[in-house]
Amino acid sequence: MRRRGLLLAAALAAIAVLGFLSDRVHGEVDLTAGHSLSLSRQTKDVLGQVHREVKVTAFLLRGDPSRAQAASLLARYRRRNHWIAYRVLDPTDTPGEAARLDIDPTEGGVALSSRGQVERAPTVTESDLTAGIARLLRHHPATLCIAGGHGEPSVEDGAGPGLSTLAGLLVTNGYRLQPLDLLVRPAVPPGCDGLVLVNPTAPLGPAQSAIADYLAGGGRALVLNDPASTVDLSPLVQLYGMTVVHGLVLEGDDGARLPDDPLSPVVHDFTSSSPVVRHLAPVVLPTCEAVLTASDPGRGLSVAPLASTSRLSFLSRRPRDTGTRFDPAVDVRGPINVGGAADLVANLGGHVRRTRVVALGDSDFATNALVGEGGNARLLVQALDWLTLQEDLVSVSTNIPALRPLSLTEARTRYLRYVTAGVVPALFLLAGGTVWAVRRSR
Amino acid sequence: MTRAVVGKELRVLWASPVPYVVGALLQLVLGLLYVDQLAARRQALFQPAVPIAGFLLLALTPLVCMRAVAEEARSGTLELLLAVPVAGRPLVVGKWLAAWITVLVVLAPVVLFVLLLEWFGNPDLGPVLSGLVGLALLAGALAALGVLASSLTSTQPVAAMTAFFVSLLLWFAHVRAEALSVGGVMDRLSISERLRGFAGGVVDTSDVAFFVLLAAAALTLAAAAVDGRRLR
Amino acid sequence: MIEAVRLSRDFGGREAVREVSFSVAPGEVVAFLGPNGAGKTTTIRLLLGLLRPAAGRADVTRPVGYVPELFAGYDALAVSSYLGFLARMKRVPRAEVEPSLGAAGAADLAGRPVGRLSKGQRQRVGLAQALLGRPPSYVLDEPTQGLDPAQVVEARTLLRSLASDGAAVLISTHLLAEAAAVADRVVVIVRGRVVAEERPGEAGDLERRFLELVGRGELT
Ligand SMILES: Nc1ncnc2c1ncn2[C@@H]1O[C@H](COP(=O)(O)OP(=O)(O)OP(=O)(O)O)[C@@H](O)[C@H]1O
Ligand SMILES: [Mg+2]
Repeated sequence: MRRRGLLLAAALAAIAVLGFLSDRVHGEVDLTAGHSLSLSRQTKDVLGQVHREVKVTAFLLRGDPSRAQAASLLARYRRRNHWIAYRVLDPTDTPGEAARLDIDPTEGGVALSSRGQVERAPTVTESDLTAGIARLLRHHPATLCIAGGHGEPSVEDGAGPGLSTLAGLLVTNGYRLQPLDLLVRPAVPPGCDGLVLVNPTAPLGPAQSAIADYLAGGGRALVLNDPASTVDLSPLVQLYGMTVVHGLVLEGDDGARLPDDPLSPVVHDFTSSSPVVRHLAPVVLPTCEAVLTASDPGRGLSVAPLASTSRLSFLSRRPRDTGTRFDPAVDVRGPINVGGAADLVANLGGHVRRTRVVALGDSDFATNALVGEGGNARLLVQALDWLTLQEDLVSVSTNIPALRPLSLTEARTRYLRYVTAGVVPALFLLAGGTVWAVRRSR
Repeated sequence: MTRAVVGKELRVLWASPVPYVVGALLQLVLGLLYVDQLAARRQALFQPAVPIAGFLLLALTPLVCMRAVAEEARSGTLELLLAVPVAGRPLVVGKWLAAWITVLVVLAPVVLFVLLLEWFGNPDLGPVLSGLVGLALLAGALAALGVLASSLTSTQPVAAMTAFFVSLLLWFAHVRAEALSVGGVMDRLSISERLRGFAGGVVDTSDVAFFVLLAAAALTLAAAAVDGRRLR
Repeated sequence: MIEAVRLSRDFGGREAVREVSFSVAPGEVVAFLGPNGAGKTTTIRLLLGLLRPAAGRADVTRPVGYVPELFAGYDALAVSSYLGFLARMKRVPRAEVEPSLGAAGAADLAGRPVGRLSKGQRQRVGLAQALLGRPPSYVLDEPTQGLDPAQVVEARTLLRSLASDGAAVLISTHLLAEAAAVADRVVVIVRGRVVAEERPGEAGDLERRFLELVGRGELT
């Protein structure tokens, strides 16, 4: 008896040990078509560098359909590396926690912390998480150089057209800001992880070649154009497969603009799967112009269009003359593309240089007056996150599941319900009834 | 020996109304909830069927297993076997296999969902396969828990309720007061978390091992409980 | 060979069997006689290892044919498939099923579901099941209860023939006539103790003796 008890205890202990081991030493097979559930190679590389605890706190409303997905994504991270611990909280349940981690409870988001350092990301997606972890691992925060000296709005300006809100947002997202006066010193210092160029109104002069040189050497830039300025930034972005077409977008679709304001398109058509526009709320872009992207960029260059206005919109090339009227001779029919993201890999002097440029046809949306609207702030942060990540930390290639539409009409839904919830259970009952009847007859 | 037990158990089980009623209930609820999910998502996904079916199995597998040992102990047939003497292990394993097979048969019409998805859309068959594998493993583990509960009592309803309660605890093991999940031991014990990977299309060896070991642990205990009925 | 050596057992402090000793040699039929609640079934379960003795030792040559007090089967199964299953459990060829049913007078029941049998029919199936493989020992707890007189006679003949084939047969009963008719020896148990052990032929008026013994048991 005693011996049997011991044997039983030993068997159970062996099972527990096996369970523990199987959790530590395990492999997985991803059966999805695009391996969409496997972490990308970049993510695995980043996780391989984590050797201290990283706490991930995701804030998602309980009803949010992406909550379960977020949890399983986080579980995959943890399985890959046990230093990752995570929680998924409802921000309305835990406003204190959200406030402590500086997450807007109405927006949600994710905070990643390690040794007192906190990074934030807007969505619980692989690109955001990996980028966040990469930022934690990077010992210094990325430095953003803010171009100035040619009439650009200032990051110190707290008034409506200023950029102080954006500046604050970037700092909370782990960026260090360094204003540059390119008029006084037309050079972009090597310490700039990214350059932000917002609507210069005076000709750039020597600064233009300084920026071009910076980009050619593997620089990263966010270029915000604006119809209000006569300075043509096309030469800067053309090398990277993008063209700024001057004019003014007039939006005719009531559902895609601010009320009764054809000059203020509300863009919700994010055409690409670029991480810059992933999971974005509609973006308000008052007075904006077009940014065209090359459909056939050169070798090593990929360009993604980011967002476009509606079919009922058009680009007025001479708004002063034609007003809000469409002039078929010169104007361009919608949809109008208003942004692009370019990624160029070049082999320069024996090592790889990676240049990234995001160009948008508007700058007002980044100002204090409008940065809080819709997805504006998030668009800017996502653009800069994507721009400033170093090559080994980039998760552009996260495996995304393909959409698999189901053509369900009302009638087909009814049919499905009829078969699965009607016929099949009925067959079970029928079988049961038959067996019962046969048994009774014996 | 085990084969004979499986055959006898299957004949006894399928002569009772239990599998038919369980099958009808499972398919009815699953059909309604799953088609709702499809109508809402309009994507050819099998994924939403997995947690629904999993939870239904949680509730229904105990009904299939409850009679396994409890009823034999109550009616006295077990005494006859113990006097032979038949060891606990083949008895318990046979009963578990029979319950597992029964649950799988009852679950099998979900293949119809896949056919319908193929008809109206173009589903990714990888996650379908892994989802089915996950459900089958879950059914095996739940059946083992059910047989264990049944071996601890001579009252079928008590066995069913015990099994359901324990499975429920395991299903929600990862749920803390406010959080959905934390890195800890408890969420490694959560069967719903384990099922999630399968539903999405990933077969992880640790998840497979979890269900297999859960079943093994439950069956080891059940065999000990049956042997313990001898020499009391 | 069936042997009980000073077997004792209590249930929650209540003594059920106290120092019961007796033995059944091969070729012998022994009746275990006692009033209701005397401890017959408890002793039998001790012998079969279904209960753990508090003291003493049980020794039974295996395999053993066992008819429990209340014979139970799986109601849905036909008699023959139930016996087939038990044959597999006893590692006996399935071909044994038919002769066993025949010997127990249950050949006509083979195709009937167990759940539909009458009490006497059940008892016969229980007997048939014990005969599977013709084991060297039989322990039968009230094997003739519920049988009609003709069947009782047949059952007695069967038990005797088992013994004459060299098996050790122990039957329990609370019927004096039964014990007298079939047994070579009678072990009388009252209130958990063996109070007498005698050969039916020797004690002239068995009934008077039995009542006397039971009465004496109740006095102590
Ligand atoms: N499992 C048990 N738990 C508690 N008491 C028990 C148990 N089994 C038997 N007893 C008690 O032990 C005593 C002997 O019971 P047992 O069943 O051996 O009697 P018996 O001689 O077989 O009677 P009968 O002729 O009615 O079959 C009785 O008092 C009974 O109540
Ligand atoms: Mg009795």
